Amino acid sequence: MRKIRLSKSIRLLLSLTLFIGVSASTALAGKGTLTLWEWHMTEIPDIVGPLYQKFEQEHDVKLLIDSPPFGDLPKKFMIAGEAGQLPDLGELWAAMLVPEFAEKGFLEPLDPYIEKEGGAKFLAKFQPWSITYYKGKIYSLPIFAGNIGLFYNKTMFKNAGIGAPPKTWDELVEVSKKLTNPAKHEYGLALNGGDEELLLCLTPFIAQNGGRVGRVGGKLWINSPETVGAIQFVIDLVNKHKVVPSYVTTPYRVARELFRTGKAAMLYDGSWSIKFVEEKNPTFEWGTAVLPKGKTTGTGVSIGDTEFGMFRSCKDKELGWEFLKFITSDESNYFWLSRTLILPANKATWPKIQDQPYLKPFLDQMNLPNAIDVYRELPPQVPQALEVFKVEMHNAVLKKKTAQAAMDAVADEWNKLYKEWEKRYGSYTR
Amino acid sequence: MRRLRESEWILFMLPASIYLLMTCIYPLGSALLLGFYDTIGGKTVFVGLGNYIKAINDSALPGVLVNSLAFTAFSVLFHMLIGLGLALLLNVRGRRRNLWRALQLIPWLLPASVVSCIWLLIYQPQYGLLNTVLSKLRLPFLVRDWLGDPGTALASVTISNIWMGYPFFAVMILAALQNIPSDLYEAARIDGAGGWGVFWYITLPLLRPVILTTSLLDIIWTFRFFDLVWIMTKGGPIRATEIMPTYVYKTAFYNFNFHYAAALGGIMVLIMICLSIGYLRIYLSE
Repeated sequence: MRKIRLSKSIRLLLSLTLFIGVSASTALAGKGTLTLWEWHMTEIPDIVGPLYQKFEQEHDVKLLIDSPPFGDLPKKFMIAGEAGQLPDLGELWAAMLVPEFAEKGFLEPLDPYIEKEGGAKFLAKFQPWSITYYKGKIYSLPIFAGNIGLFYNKTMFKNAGIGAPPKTWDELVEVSKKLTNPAKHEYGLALNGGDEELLLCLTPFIAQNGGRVGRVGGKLWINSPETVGAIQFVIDLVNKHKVVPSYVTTPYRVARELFRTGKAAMLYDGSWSIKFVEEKNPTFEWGTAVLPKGKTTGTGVSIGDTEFGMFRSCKDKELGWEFLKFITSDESNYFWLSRTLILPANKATWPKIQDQPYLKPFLDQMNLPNAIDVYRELPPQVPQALEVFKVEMHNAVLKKKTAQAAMDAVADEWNKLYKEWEKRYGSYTR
Repeated sequence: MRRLRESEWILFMLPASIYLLMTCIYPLGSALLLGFYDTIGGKTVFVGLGNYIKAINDSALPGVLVNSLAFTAFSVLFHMLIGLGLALLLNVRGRRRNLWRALQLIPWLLPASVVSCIWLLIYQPQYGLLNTVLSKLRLPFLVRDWLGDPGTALASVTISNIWMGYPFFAVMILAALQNIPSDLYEAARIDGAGGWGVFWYITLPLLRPVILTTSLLDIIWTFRFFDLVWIMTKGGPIRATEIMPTYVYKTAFYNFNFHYAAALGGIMVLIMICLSIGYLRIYLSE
């Protein structure tokens, strides 16, 4: 019988593997672990990393973090949910995931834990609009919200003899026309028309025209005269006034690039883009402002992009709750958000950041009476609803349909989504 | 002795078979099975062909199928024509022949994500290469948003795919060309055949098996090709470039309707089986 002989290098490798394995298990022995799936560790490890480390030290626990990109995380959750392989904790896009996950029984309701902390007193630190309820229960705690404001190129304004950013829709048209020079590939206003978040970018116009987006008070608003009027105004900006560069092929990242490179004088974007513009060190002066108003003021608010929740399968729920408390605490919230300049959900942090010059207009807009939380108004199948809207908006901009016909089609499809949901899970109420 | 060899053969095949079963057959079977279920009242229930009937009534699906077939047909046709032309050019003796052969492989070596970015920049409406060239040539009426216009979007992504995929045909055909015995050409020339005659009666018939095999592979690859269209247009505008893979992906991961997506995947498999059978019948009749 031939003996199996291992080379020296293979023996060394095996010994090393064994040593590392034993060392790691020894190091973890006695320590609890929590699995966490989130999307910030890849993008901003220097900000969230120290926070997670602090939690680990304070609670003698090891966080096992998996951090796929933002767009991939919901898919990962959905697949893991179907396979029964969910982590202990997760960063959730609440508007999209909470209804489905709550219905499927994947999420742990947080109400009993909140009650133990004082109930309403504990919740009082959050902005009231930032808490996501589903059928009267809370499944996640918020970190930040966002809204759409106006970024403008002060240098281009100065060169065109324009003193201040536009304050009304009429001024927006006038100023945009002055700043548009197709021969130099310069445009007045960059709008996101190319990706699914185009609805978020359009929502301020809808709010400023007295409209709403989804089902509010039992009525679906997307094809209402107010909403269609706002949609028509945007279509006119693109087709009639020709101040918006290639609407249907301009997603947010391209719109942002057009602004950062001085090809677009104005940009409708969220406060999350302040850092992106700053990082580019633009050669021009720029600023942010409150959006120009239509019939009324208003903005599109996105809430619940980042909330943290606990899954039913969490093996140490008390520890899981400690993490949720820690990550949404005043201190953690301020540490995180003062570095990313995204609007925090925790009210205690607002006074500390309200003098930040780029952020102030966004904070002011958050308090507008008709700021619309667009995603919570949509049918619960949020990505599908957004895709339907994108297709029909493109139909309208590319003159295949009138604005009214396009929005009627959206209403039909969204009604089907609501019905499909009701067939699956019964009535839909937030 | 013979029996022993047979049992040994099975033993050697077993690991590969188990691997194939676990990584291919089982997931495929599970996915197809998923298509016969749906979530109703919060529970997963068997609905038989319900999802397939839903697909028949899906108003978006005919357009998606037409796009998929057009994308596949034009891609494969031009892969073949350009690949054949290039292989014939590269088969002649000349200086730096190997350099030219290596250079023409570049598009095929690039990942689909890189190719998508290159062509996104070429088609960029404001400062893209194509519109800039058209403007310089004083053809401003041709300047447009190539990927944003539903009339040109599918053709634009198809051209990008053609650019990426033709070298594979060129390499395969070139290899086959080099295996054609030179005495056949000499005999044809002695018989008075011209260039066209030699190509039509000698080269093309001998290349036919390679062209058919490569085309079959390309049909299967292109019909399920996802990356390029997804990165360039995500199926837009107005579903002008929506193909089966992007539609299935959106159904599964935008709409989280895994059951319906599985049924759509089943339809894709059926279409590919039909295309393959049809093609193989032609191939075998040759």
